Amino acid sequence: MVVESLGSQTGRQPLPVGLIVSTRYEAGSDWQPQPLTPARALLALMDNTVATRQRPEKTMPILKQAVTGAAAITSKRGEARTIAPLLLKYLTVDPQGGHNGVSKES
Amino acid sequence: MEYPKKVDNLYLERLDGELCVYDWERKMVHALNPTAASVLEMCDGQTSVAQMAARLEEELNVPQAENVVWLSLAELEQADLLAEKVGDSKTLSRREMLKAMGVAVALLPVVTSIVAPTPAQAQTCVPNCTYIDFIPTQISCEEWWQNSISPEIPEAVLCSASSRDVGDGFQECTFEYFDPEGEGCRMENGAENFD
Repeated sequence: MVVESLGSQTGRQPLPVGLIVSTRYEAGSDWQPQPLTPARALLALMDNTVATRQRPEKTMPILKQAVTGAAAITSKRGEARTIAPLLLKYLTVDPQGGHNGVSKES
Repeated sequence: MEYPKKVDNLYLERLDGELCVYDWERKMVHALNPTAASVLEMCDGQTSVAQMAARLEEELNVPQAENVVWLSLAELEQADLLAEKVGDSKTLSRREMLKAMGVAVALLPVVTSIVAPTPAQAQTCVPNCTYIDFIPTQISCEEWWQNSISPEIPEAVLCSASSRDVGDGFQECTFEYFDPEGEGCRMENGAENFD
């Protein structure tokens, strides 16, 4: 089955990363996102990359590409059903190409 | 330390003036803001503090640059990124710099550090231990774990930390963590094995 048969499109170029969210569930916590600098965002990604220990010279440049140009935020979160709509507010959809961009507004 | 030198075995990645650093020996990852990044990059064992200050003032327009360099060196030393110790006699605190020197917060050096994750940490965290501690409310439970408890049991993985205000400026922190040793929980105060 090809994806076109489901009415969708096949991408030919890798999509840029639009938004990096560093978050952890904590019951009852409020969503209070704070912006992360590129280096802090890279740190957050490396904190979740096991290969960092063995091959930092590989993982860091790759994750740097992911971070470059992306917005990054951090906050504790409550229930996912509450937070998901708030996260989607950060994103805008380019109607021309279906490319996910990022709104810098919170 | 007249000519500061960074430790060997670092992998550096620059991002818009900031720096990410991997310490091969200690398995630590650090994020440095532009001020700390500039100072670390000048720590080649041949550049004096005065030369660093002049360059910092020129590149980042940092006032009181020599004080900022000394504070940066203290931060870098604390992160084990320097080959030799920094004398603390010349180091002003961040608060002193903000108050007396008029240095903007954004220009003060910041070094944020993590321990590179292990494969055990990548797994879904299922706690086998819990530990309760009472700490001041000025610090978060997670920071307390990272600064005070984790160094004692570095292989333990914090699954969750919850806080309950108990008044008088104190909070009760409940830490649930995974101890890969599997021989019971080694934190004595309030420790309890789920098994």
